[in-house]
Amino acid sequence: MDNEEVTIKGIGASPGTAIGFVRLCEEPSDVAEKFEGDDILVTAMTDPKWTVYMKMAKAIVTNSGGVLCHAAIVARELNIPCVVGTLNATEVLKDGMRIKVDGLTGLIANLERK
Amino acid sequence: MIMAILDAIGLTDKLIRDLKAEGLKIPKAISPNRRAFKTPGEDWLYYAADLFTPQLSRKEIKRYINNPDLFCDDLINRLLFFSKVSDILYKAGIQIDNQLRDKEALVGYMIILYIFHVCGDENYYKYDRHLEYYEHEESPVGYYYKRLQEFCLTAAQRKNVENSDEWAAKTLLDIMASPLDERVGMPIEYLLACKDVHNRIVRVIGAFQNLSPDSLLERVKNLDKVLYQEVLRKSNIFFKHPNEFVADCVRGIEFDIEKEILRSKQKAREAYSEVDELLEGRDKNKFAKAVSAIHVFSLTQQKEGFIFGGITPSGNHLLDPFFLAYEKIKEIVNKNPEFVAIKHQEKMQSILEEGNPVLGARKLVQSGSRFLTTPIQKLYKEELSRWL
Repeated sequence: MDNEEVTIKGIGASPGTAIGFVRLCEEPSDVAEKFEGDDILVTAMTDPKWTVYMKMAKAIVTNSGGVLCHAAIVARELNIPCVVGTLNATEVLKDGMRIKVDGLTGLIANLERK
Repeated sequence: MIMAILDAIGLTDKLIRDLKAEGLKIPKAISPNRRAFKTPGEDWLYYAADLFTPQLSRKEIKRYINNPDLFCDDLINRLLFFSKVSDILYKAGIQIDNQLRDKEALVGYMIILYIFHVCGDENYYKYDRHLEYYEHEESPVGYYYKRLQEFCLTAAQRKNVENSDEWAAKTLLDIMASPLDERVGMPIEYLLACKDVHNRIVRVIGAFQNLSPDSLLERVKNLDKVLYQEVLRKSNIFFKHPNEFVADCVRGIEFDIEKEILRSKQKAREAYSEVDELLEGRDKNKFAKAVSAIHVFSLTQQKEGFIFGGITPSGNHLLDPFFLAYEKIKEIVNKNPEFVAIKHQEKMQSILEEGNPVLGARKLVQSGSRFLTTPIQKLYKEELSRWL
């Protein structure tokens, strides 16, 4: 991410990179209303109710959790890049923002500020 | 003899005795454990989940390191017990409104909130938090995670890769991608998720089945963008055979999930073999044991997520008594500020208006009863003494 501005650093929990648009979701039902394609799910934390919606995301970013949290385990199983434990992703990232997520290093870059 | 407040609504001495026989332990008060580990993430979690949770003893830690499956069994069994207590508390809680006056109701809800929290700490968080303490070697999960990290790093150095830290980190995550055990198929979590999708689509389409195709499409677009994309892709069957459309959507998701799980299994196997080939002697066995342990812990996380996030045997949600009691306490205190000692009213208000109910309730459990007026505190202590 040399030429991009790193917005947030979390814990890399499922390797891979993805570029897409931030979709801030408080509840799983928000996904149905907000996802349009190239969506990156950004939420405080996930539980089993989120599972099927996680499959629809290009990447997952959460405020809480570590490498053995629900989001991390499901993301690895579904081969989706995932960054957890960012502390404040839901505050810093804004709906519709285009970002790049690196699920190994835990870095999230805002691609709009270049 | 004066009847205890919650006795009147079914929380009898006999019931409490039976729960104690099943392992219910209620302390007189809770105090923070400054040596508690910290859950990664937001700070409120530390206060709400880590700080007041009883620690695993050295003996327990040793036992769980020797036998990770036992950790899984104990966590699930204690969580089921917590779920049972939660159910009992909720049933009692919904009766308080009709049967008790505000003063007694306040005490009743404060006790329910307290029992709910300390029971959750002792029977759920005590185990569950360790799934998040993977960075602490003193935790059973951390013990194996640390070993896996070391094995991956050793393999990276022997492989002589350019960036050994990055290679080790990626390989570790790849190994953790999926249980290597062939018997572990598609987790029920995914199957239920597909059922959830089925219900959602039926609900959305069913609500507008009398509309013209154009209007229906417009409604679906406004209501559910994900479903709308599917409708556009499969419009030929959507309007002619809606049931087939639903089945097709679900089949598609099941197929996608299954495909990804097979891929992650393959990835995990390859990463495992790569590290295994670079290790020598007894390290190979230790590595195999660490991988197996981490997968047990991962599956435990998924199993407990279902129980915690799901519903109790009688159909209530595990967290129902918590939300009920917290909201009722707020309501009663706002209606009767005189129930709180004048010097504590401001502090009590700030706790009740915390914004984060989990954090607010935890603060209330820790010190809220001390803020009540002396006669109400006396009632609270009398009721609590039955549970100790």
